[in-house]
Amino acid sequence: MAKQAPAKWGVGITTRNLQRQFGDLKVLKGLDLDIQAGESLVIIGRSGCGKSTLLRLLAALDEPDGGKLDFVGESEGSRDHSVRMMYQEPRLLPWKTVVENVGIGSVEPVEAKFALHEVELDSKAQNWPASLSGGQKQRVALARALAHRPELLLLDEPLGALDALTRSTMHRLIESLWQEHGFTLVMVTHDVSEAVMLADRVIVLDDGAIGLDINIRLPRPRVATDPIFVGYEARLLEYLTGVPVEPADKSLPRHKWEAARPDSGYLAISN
Amino acid sequence: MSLSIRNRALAGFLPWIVPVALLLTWQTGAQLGWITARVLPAPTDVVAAGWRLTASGELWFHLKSSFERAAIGFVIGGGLGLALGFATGLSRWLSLLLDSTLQMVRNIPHLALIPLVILWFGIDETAKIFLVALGSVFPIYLNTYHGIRNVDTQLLEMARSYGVRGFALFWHVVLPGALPSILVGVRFALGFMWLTLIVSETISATDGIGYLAMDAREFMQTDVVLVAILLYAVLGKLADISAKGLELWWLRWHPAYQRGQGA
Ligand SMILES: Nc1ncnc2c1ncn2[C@@H]1O[C@H](COP(=O)(O)OP(=O)(O)O)[C@@H](O)[C@H]1O
Ligand SMILES: [Mg+2]
Repeated sequence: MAKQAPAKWGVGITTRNLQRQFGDLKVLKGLDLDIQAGESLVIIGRSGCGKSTLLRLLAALDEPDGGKLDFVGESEGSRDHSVRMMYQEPRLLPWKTVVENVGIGSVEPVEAKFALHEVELDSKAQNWPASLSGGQKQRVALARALAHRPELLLLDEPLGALDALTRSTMHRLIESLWQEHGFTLVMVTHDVSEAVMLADRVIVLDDGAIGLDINIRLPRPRVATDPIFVGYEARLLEYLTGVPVEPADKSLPRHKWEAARPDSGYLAISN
Repeated sequence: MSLSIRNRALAGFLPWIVPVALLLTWQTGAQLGWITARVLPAPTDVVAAGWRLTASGELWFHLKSSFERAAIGFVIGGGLGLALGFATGLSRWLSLLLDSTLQMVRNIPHLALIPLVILWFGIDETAKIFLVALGSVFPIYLNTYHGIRNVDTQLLEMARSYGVRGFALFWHVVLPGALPSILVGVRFALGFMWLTLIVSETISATDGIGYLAMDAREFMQTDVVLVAILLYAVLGKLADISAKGLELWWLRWHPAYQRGQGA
């Protein structure tokens, strides 16, 4: 069984018939979604299908036009669950030093320094954001979110603008921080491989509702060349593109490759 | 443009050739009597006049009057412009109420109001300070309003979602975001400030650099007139340098103002 993060801080979420529209455009058409406390959920879907819209509802940046959205967790009932969002852009204040940026929203300087340490950017504490690389900026944004000890961390394609090497470093970092802190992680991406790398569970948003919902039963840390990993990728790609996908490596044992497809009757890997 | 060491020495030297040549021609022309001292006294005479005025304390006296006028007018006008800019920039209602009127009024060249200002305030101190204030209010108002309206909405949303609200939001996000634009306004306003001061002191004054020049004109002391003109130039330059200094300090986070901070 894959190693699950302890739900130290995580909060669960339940939505029922969640709706959101812009004018006549119905983006979310009655979404029913249960997110477990401490779970790592990745949302993928075509561009413009409403992923950011959903995330903004979860972050309470926007109000739903219908339906219900509830937080469930240990501190059930209280409304002030700490939810933090990391955007596609780092959104750092250019006139504040790196450590000041992390400390935004009355975080103790000690906490800000520690959060920077967690993303391995201690040495840049006194720099201006303008002097950082794209990946470093996103790490600062991650530290800023972590400094608030969130119960729910929302990531909206935060790695989209980064190169492949930096992305894979960021995957490791996000995974280890998630395992350590135990927050609930909801991440949006358009990258199927990223989804399989990080998710306990992947949902595909399709036409305003959940089109596909699969659990990724792979031990962590995951390896992208693992046949089952590749199988999950193929399953998602097939759904998204509507075209059957075959493994590039034809020598892969067929049963392994097929195993990852939920319709094959596959349930769990024991290790 | 990359220059070799030798060329760099030459590049440092070249810009000086024309001014020095002009100065020499002027000096020679004046000494040989080609140019009469009434039209243009020799540079050395101008320096001598400047020295005389400094030694007698006259120069400092007039400089102080002008500087006070400029400073008081600028603080009043700039402060008002800043306050109006904050008000309309931060409140949609105040913007609807005030902005179109202010945009209309700013189209009146403030120096065109001189006859009216003299009718209102006579020719005393108030009139001059009023004009200077009027000259600095609009550049600062416009750029403050513009700066605040153009603060990155993504940063605002981020800050709000991190619990930054009210005055803290203004102080940590809105004001720094608008600062580059505000400082552009300050530099424009400083330019207008000197221009207005020159005009108003020339029209009527009993002290100040403009008075120094007009008084000298009556006695045909062209050298003193030139000293006054040079003083205005120097003061204008100083104001500009201090504004640039403020930019360098306040906008030191800005990539355009960063020198060699290691990444
Ligand atoms: N503030 C808005 N006003 C109008 N339409 C919007 C707004 N935000 C998003 N939309 C529309 O809603 C749809 C979903 O957008 P979004 O959630 O951003 O998609 P994505 O899945 O790419 O993140 C898109 O068609 C987009 O144009
Ligand atoms: Mg999006």
